[in-house]
Amino acid sequence: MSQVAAAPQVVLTDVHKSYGHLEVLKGISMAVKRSEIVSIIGPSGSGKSTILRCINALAPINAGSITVGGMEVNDPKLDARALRRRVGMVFQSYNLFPHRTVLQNIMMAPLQVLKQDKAEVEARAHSLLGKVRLSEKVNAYPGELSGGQQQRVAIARSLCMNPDVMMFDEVTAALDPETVKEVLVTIRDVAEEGMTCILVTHEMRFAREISDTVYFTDKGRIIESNSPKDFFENPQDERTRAFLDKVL
Amino acid sequence: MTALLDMFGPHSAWAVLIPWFPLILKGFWLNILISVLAMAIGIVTGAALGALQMSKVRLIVLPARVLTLFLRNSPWLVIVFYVMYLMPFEIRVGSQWISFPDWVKAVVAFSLPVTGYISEIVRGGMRAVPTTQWEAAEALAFGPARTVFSIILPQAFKQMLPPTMNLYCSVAMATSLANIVGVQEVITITQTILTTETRPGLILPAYGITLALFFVYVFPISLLSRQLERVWSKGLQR
Ligand SMILES: Nc1ncnc2c1ncn2[C@@H]1O[C@H](COP(=O)(O)OP(=O)(O)OP(=O)(O)O)[C@@H](O)[C@H]1O
Ligand SMILES: [Mg+2]
Repeated sequence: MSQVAAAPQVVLTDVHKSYGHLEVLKGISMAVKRSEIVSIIGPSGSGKSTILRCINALAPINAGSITVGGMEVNDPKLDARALRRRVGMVFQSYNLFPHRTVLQNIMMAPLQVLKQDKAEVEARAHSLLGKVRLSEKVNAYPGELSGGQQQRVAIARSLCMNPDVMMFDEVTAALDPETVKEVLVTIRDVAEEGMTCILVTHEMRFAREISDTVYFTDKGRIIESNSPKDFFENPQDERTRAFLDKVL
Repeated sequence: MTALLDMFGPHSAWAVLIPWFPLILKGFWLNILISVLAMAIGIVTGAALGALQMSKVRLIVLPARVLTLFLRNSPWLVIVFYVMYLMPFEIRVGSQWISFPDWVKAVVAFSLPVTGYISEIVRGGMRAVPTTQWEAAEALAFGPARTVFSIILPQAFKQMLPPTMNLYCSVAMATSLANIVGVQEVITITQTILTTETRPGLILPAYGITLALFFVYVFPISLLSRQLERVWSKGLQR
């Protein structure tokens, strides 16, 4: 294996992040290898979303360093667009563009930002819609779709940028229990194709099944990280045990 | 009966005015042209100014905000005077001389307050779009300008259209101010007619015609705007 492929895709080193006087991240370090599936779990307000937002520079960090594929995120000369086309992000509230059809939602960024060839993008969009099992909804508007369907479109929309890393921020939290599964199946498909995935989730069973590594965050710190088996069966820290007792 | 015949008889005010109709309409056409062009320019510049007001950079927001407030709060007549006397009669572009007739200056003058009002309408419309839409666009590598024009403004459109139509109604009526600086619009024409025709009692019918013209033109627009406002106000509560 070459040196590049072996190097971690996403590396956070002692990342600190404050909103005003509130320190939200107090020294986060993690390394995500290519094709690794990482889950971040932890209580509400512990900084999970903030970690993701820092990784694609939606939120600037105060200290430490983040690299994505060797690109220094905290560099003032950072080309944010170059970074964001490498890092896809899916949100809890889907955030599809309501004034555009499903197909247009998926094609917009590759066409307008990456200036890719229309026929090529359209072919890719159709194939991605097939993959998320929504081929019959190409011309529907987001408002006409269920939450689970919208979320799958949002995943396809991110994938159409051909990112190296996908980040999922509690993407099933707003869904009905029946539709959670269809979205999890989609994420699993993405993961099985070798995509590097960082997911924040409250779906413990799913995290356990799919992850290579589980990180537990509390109050802006990573309390422990482990393989899912060890993490769930043999948590090391008291806070992890308390949290798992509550949610499992 | 005789009174009625008097009104439309060969020596009535109407009989005197009817031959002037083509000229009056020509004048009114200039009012429409000025208002449409001023609106078109003002929408472009106002949208840009409104977008600048939404910038994250304070050094951009502040001047944009001040300019918007200034344009919105200056009397239109004063703006018309200033533009008429400050704008050159012609300018040189390369080897070409481009001249500005008075009506073009009027277009520029009216586009200024329109810029201010549109800037405010655009700002309000953009604030009504959820911030998650900005974030989603940013995460998809959209730059700020493209985010505004491809994603935010189209969604704000429904909220922005009715006030923009109302603004247009005001602009259309305000073009009559251009008579003060001699633009050959409908009021100026009417005044010319009144000084040419010596017959007394023409003032009220003559201005009545301009009143009717403005009303017939503006009223449907304001009616439609009110209708849209009512229909769309439901759809906005997403
Ligand atoms: N834009 C912001 N401005 C100020 N404070 C913020 C902002 N975003 C997040 N915070 C604060 O940062 C802390 C961590 O927030 P974050 O959203 O990362 O938590 P989380 O672990 O994702 O929680 P949840 O499970 O509820 O989504 C919280 O205390 C939150 O109030
Ligand atoms: Mg969160």
